Formats: sequence, C-alpha cells, structure tokens
Amino acid sequence: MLLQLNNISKWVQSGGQKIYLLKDINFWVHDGDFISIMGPSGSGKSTLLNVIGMLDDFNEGEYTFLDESVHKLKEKHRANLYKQYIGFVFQSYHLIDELTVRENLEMPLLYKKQSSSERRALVADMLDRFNIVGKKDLFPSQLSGGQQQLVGIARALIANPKLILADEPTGNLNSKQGEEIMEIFKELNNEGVTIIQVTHSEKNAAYGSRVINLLDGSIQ
Amino acid sequence: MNIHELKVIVRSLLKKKFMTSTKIIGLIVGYTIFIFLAEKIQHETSYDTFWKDSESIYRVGLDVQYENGKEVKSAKNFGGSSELLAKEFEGVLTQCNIGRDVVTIFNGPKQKIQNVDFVWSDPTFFSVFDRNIISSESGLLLENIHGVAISQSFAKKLFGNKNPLGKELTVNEGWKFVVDTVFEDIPGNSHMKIDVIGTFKTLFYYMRNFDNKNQVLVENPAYQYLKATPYETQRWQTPVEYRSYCYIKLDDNTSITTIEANLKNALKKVALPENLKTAEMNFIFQPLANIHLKSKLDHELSVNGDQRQVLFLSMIIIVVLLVCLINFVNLNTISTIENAKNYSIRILNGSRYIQVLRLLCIESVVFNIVALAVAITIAYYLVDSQLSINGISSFTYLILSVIVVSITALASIVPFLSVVKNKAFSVIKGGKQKLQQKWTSQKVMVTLQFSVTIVLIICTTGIYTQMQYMMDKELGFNGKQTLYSFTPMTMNQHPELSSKLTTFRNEVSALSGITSFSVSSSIPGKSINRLNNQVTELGEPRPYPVTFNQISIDNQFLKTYDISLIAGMNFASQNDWNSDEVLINETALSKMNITKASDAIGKYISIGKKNYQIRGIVEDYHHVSLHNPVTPTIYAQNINWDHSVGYYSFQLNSNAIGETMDQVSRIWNNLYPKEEFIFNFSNAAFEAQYLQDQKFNQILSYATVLALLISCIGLLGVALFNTKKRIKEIGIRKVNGAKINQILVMLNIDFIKWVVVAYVIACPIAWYALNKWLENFAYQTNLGIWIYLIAGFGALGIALLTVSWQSFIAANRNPVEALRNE
Repeated sequence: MLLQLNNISKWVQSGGQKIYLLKDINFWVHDGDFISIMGPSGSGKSTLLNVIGMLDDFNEGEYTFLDESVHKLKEKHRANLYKQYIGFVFQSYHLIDELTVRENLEMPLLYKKQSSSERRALVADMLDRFNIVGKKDLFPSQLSGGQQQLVGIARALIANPKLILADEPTGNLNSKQGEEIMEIFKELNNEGVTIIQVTHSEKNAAYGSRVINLLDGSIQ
Repeated sequence: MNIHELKVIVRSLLKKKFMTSTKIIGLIVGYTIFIFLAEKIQHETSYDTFWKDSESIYRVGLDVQYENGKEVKSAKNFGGSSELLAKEFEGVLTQCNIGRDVVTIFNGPKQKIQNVDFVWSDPTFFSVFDRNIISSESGLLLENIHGVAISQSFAKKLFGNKNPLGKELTVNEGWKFVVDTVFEDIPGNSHMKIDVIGTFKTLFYYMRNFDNKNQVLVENPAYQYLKATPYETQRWQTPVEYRSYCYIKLDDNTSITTIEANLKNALKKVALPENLKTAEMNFIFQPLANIHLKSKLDHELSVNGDQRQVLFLSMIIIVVLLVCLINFVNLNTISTIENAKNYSIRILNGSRYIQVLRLLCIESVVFNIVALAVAITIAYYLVDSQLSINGISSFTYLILSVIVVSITALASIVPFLSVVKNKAFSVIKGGKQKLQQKWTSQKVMVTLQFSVTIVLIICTTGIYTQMQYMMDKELGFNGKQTLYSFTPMTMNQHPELSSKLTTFRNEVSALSGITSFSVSSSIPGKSINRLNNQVTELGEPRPYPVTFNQISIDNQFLKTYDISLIAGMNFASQNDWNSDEVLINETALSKMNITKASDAIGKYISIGKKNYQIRGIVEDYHHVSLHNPVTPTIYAQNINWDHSVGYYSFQLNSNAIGETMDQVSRIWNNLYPKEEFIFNFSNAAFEAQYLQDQKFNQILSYATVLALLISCIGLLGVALFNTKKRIKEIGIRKVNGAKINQILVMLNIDFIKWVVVAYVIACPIAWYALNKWLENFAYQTNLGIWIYLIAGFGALGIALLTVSWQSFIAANRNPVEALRNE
C-alpha cells in the first residue's frame, strides 16, 4: 500500500457554520495504480489532491503515506516526504519562465544536491525519453501548450518519484494534445509509476484503472 | 551562489525591463545623492581639523561692551592680546598674529596675479600653524627682512618648475621681496587662505623706508624693529581696521577654561586706554575647528560656512536615503509577489525556504552592485567638479557599505517574510495568482515618500522665491551699464597718483561711449573693509555708539551708479581729489539721531582727528547683499585711502562696449604701462555675493527633482500592483456597465487620499524649515500661501499622472481578458 486516507474531513467556518470541503474520505492507493478523481466544479477534487500532496492540512482523520502517519508529522518532515516521493503536474504547467527547458528539468535536481554530471545524465535521459532534445534550449514561452506540459511531466518525473499528482493536466490543451499527454501517462503507469489525476473528462478518466467520483466533498 | 541562480536572476531582470530600471534608477539616484552630500558635509565639518594639535589652537576674538552700551564682538583683536596671554600663562606655548591683505603680485614685466592672499604675521607663524617647510633659503624662518614665505602651489603659479628660492616678486606699488621659504599648501578646508606670508617687521621696514617717488627701497641697516610690550597702552589703541587675527597654542595640560578664568587678572596688568578701562572687555576663545561653522563674529577672516546649512544637508541625506530604501524594499516586495509562482514551484520541487531567501538576497546584491558602480562613478565626477574634492573618503565608503548591506538585507527579508513564507502555496493550490490583500504598509511608505518630496518642493520653491526677490529687489543703485576695474596697483602711494588719475579721467570722460567715470574704494557688491568707531559730533567728547563704514568716492560716483541724494549736494569737482566734506547715508543719519535730513547739512563731524562738514545725504542703497542690513556709511572724497584696493567704474551709454573699452584700454596702457587693464561688469560683482545661496539652492533643487523621481517610481510600482490586483474587479465592473472614467476615478481616488495625507504632514515641517532658512537674510520676501498650494497641486498632479497611466491601461482592457482566468 502506497497511501491510505481514513475518515479525512476538511472544513471552513463561514457564518458560524461548518462548510465541508471534504467529508469522511476513505481512500487508498496501491503501488502502480492509475486513479482518476472526477466530479463537478467545487466538489473538492483539487482539495483532495492537495491533501494527498501534503500541500493542504485537514481537520480530521488519518493519512498514512508509506507507513508514515502524515497527520502526526511536523511540517518539515512532511515537506521532506513529498519532496522525496511525489511529483506534481499542473493544469497551467507552472514552468519557470526565465529558465530554458533543460534548466527547468535540472531545477529539482539542484535541490537534491546531485553532482553536475549526474544531473546532466538525468536531464539528457528525460529529454530523450520525451523526445524534446531539440527543444532543450528554448524557453517555455517558445513552446506550444502540449510541449510545455511534456516538460512539466518530465520535470515531475526527473527526481524519480513514487507518485505523480496531476491536476487537470489536459485542461489547457486541445483534444489532440490532450490525447498525447494521456498516452504518456498511460505509458508511465505501465512502467510502474503511480498516478492520481483530477479530470473533468470521462474520456481521460477512462485511461485510469480506477475512478473516484466526488460530490460536495464526499466520495460517491 | 551558483550559475543557475545568477542566470535566472539576470534573465528575469532583463525580462522585466521596466521594473528593473525603475529599481536601479531609484538606487543609483539615492546612492549618488548620498555620496555627494556626505562628501559635502565632511568637507564643511573638516575645516581646520588637519592642523597638528588643531584642538589646542585657539583664535582670540574680542568682546567689548563699552560704557555707552555698545557691544562689539569681533574676530579681530588687539595685537597685544595673544602676546599678553603668552607672557602671562605658562600653558600658552606660542602665539601669532595675522593681518590680512589682498595684493597684486608682479613677476617681471609680464606676469601679474591679482587677488593674492597676502598675510602679515610673526616669525612664530609656523610654530602655531604647523606646515612642512619644503625649502628654506636662510634656515631661519621669516628672519630675512626682505624675505617672504610663499605656498607651494603659488610658487608653481609664479615660477613654474623653476626653483623659487631667491627669486624676486613685486607687490602692488613696487615693494620687492625675495622668496625665502616655500611651505606646504594650506588645504582648501581652512578658514585661512594664504599664498604669501611676510612679517610685521618687514612691513614696518618697508613702510618706513620705501621711497614712493622713485619706487625704490632705501635700505637702512640701522633699522630696528621696536615693538611695544603687550602691557603698554599703544598696543591696545589700534582701530578695528588695523587689528589682527590672534592665535594661541596651548600645551597638552592646559585647558582654555583656566585661561578664561584668570584673564581678568592678566588684563589688570595692562595700561589700557581710557575707553577700554571703563568698558567690559573679554576675549572670545574659539577652537580652530569651530571657526568655519560656528563663528559668527564681525570682521571674520573669510566668509564662513553655516551650521544650519550642514544640518539641512544632513536632513536631506537621511530623507533621500529613507525614500530610496522605502522605494527599493517596496518595489522588491511587489515584484516578489508577482514572482510568487516561481518560488512556489521551486519549493514544490524540493527547494528549502532558506534557498528562496538566498535567491532574493542574490537578486538584491546584483541590483546594489550595479547601482553602486554607476553611483560611485557619477558621484566621483560630481564631487570633483562641484566641490573640488579628489576622490571619495573612506569614511563615506564605510557608511555607504553599512547602508548598502542594510538595504540589501531589508530588501530581501521583507519581501521574503511578507510574501514567500505566507503565501507560497496559495498561488499553486488555487492554480491562479492571488495577490496579497493587505498592502497598507506599502501605501504608508509611499505616503511617507510623498511627504518628504512635498517638503522639498515647498522649500525649493520658497528658496527660489527668495533668490528671485533678491535679484529683483530695487537695490537703490544701477550697475547695468557699468563696468569696473581695479585701480592700478603700481600707483599706490605714488606721488604722481593724482596727476595721472586726473589725466586718465579727462581722457576717458572725453570718449563718446563713456557717460561717466568714477574712482572709489569700494563699489556695490564689494565689501567695505574700512570701519570707524571713532566718529564724533563736533565738540562732543564721546563718539557715536556706532561703527560707521567708510567709502572714499569722487564726485562722479553717485552719477555712475545712479544713486540719489535726498538732501544737500554732491561733491564738487576737485582737482587734488581731496576735500574736507563728506556725504552720509540715511541710516547714518538716523544713527546720529537726526530726524530731518536737511538739518544735518552743514553739520560738522570729526573722524579721527580731522573735522568734516556734511554736504549731502545719500539715499540708502544696498551696497552689499541682502543678507545684511544697510550699514551707516560715510562717503569721503579723498584718494589716499589706506587699503590698497580700489576701483575704477565706467558707465557706458551705448552697446558698443567692446569698442569703448578698447579705447579705455589704450588710455590705460599709456598711463600705466606696467599693468594690464582688466574689467568686469559691476552687476556681476553684486550677483557674485549670492553664489553660496545659489549653490545651495541648486543642490536642493537637484535633490528635490530626484526625490520626486524616486517617489514617482515608488508610486508607479504601487499603482502597477494595485491595478493588477484589481483587474478582476475592474472587469466585473465594466461588464456591469461602468464607464472608463468611472473606473479611473475609482482607481485614483485611493491615491489622492494618501497624497492629501502626505501634504498635511509635509506643510508644517516645510513651513518651519523655510522660516529657519529665511532667518539668514536681513531682507525677506513674503512667502505667500501660494507656495504651499503650488507644491500641493504639483505633487497631486504628478501623482495622478503617474497613477493614471496605469489606471488608464487597466480601465481600457477588454474585461473578457481579465475574466477569462476564472
């Protein structure tokens, strides 16, 4: 088991009332899963993803990640945990505009204190794997949306995470680009990477092995 | 620091050109002003601190309260004063007197140097004022009766690279001296400017033995310089004009207070003259280093600085630095907020917070290094050209580095705390950019900046108004068509002085271009060096309790300068240039307690031992700058005044100035072949008195413009941020029917509010500062309320323009674009 959520709830106070963002979520992920989280706007999909990614706190419940009780961990430990095991992919790519493709890929490695030859090797691998060697010296603004998302995924993968969290990774792309990205996710999954994606599209959800439907913060 | 980080920073700076340049310009301006003003202040406060044992050298001024109630506080003192102290007090190591003279020096027939600072002093001069003696002929300083000591730079000016020792130089009417000693220059930051030093002994020898008729010194080997002791009456009778500047040097164990306490006892041993016996006499001991900024006595050796000005400049420094600091921190915070996404991405990808801080720090350092390099270059040039200081002092560098380090630290920590730490993930989590909601601190800072700027605007306008007032004020004379030259120095004391002068006058007056020609001991704009406190109403035992100024003029002076008489008559033409009649001005009239001008005509007054009849009353005019009130003045008609400097004035009637002056020049060269004819406009002489004020105003104007610039940059940054933050709101309002002008009003009203607050803070401060400054002037303009209104509306206008630029762009955006992000 990679991670497990038990009775997770998250709420905000508004006008003396609790408004539930997440309510009683029970949820587990095995190594090698490809899970799609679906639901209408405001159903709590992104919140759930943020909780899993340890970017957000929750008010109630237990969260176990690789046998560590996340809810008991200090902020610093939690940060180390996600830095080590989780890669993020975003709808709007979130590349650093001032860095070239190669430098964007290299960036996470810099914080892992790897030697420059190691870094070069890993970056070259990634460029090769995603077929973007020719684009390595371009800046994000010089790439199409699909290409930017490719870089985004490559960057998420470069530190060799166990889990990829993708928040509507095809949301800003046209259908053809979207399909290509989903194919890549599928391939990655086949290679053993665990993936959790949030999506609106039934078609994209179909790539996953399991679909979780959220409505008003609860799993249906 | 690694290459990666530097690369990102440089790229992002280049990308955001506008933000980058505003930040850099702000810093450059701030640092340049700081260096320049710091050097200026250090220069002003460093006066006379360079002397060896400067703190134990004192100038002995004179404070006399006469029986009739009149008090004189003078920088000059009786020659006996410092000698008395040296004799009476063991702690006084040495002393010297200095008498100042301005001379023209001739080096052979070709070279002539005017306005040379010549002092008469004692052989002890160098024991008080330690200078390296670069070379000396006799080995005994100032012992040679024909010898003078000259400064190194003056030696170079006179003799170039040749060995100056033993060379001859000629002063004024033909006194020839031999260069005996060359001394190390006295730096510019001293109240003494000295090119040549001669001894009093030499002075008296030449006065006694110089044959004016043949212009030769008749040597007298039997001459003995007999100086009365400081206990004798004659040393305490010198009129103000001939008194000296007296200096003493104490040993390390003696404090000046012991001397002050025992001064009365020492003075009791002196056979004081009658007028001092009945008076309350005290010495004013001034430490050398205090003279330039703190001494405000009569008859100062040179024009002193002003402590208030130094204070003012220090305030400007602090203010500009504050504005600059606020601005940089502010803009940095804003751009960090805008960049929050990047920092969040980094943290998600494994960066630690401390690494983000480091990144911000490196960015600040890059800004500061670039700004410093530019600022130091500019300041180096400015300091050299404006203050004649070569190089920037290490003290300035030290303070500057402290400032730079603090600015760098603040400009990375403040944005880091206020933005990155708290808001790191909001950008990522929401998937869209949420800008900080609370930004009161930024607004408060911009308000502060604007207060400061408004203060500067008001002060500059006020000072400009005063300058304008002084330029436009009816001075009571007219120097517009008038030129002046110095009198020929070679003719001083010369027997042919008046006959040659008469010839000169007749020939010059005959020229068609000249309407009048006059010779006088002073002209408007030049100080009156002759003072007399021994003017007596005929038959009265006691003199008037006033010091009168004395000017020697001829019968053409009033005409040449368009000065009116309110009663009596002008001098009659005199061929021997002498008469026993005088004119007095209105102020002198009232000091003599005469109310009706016509009553004074025909009265007799005695000056010294001679009696003069008052012939006319001159309407008051401003002989010197409006810093000073009109002084009681006596105009006498005589040609042999004691001071050697005098002026020829020429009033011209046509525009053919060049041609006319060529003709005058020819006449001059015929009569005074040894001297070159140099002339200037009389107006320029008067305006030169305001040079200090104009320089100060100039510095202030620059500071104002630059502070305004920095403030606008700050405002622009905040406006940029504000509109960005409200893009969605603007879009929604527009979709719901708001017009562009309504949006503009909405965006601008916020800023107007803050500028008004700034204005309210600024006004009283500016009012106070301005009034303090105006106290410098005897004649002040009326500063109307309009200055405050102009500054207020000006600042508001500039603020609105700055803000509206951004507001207009924001208001004109297609709302669909703004809302699409949702």
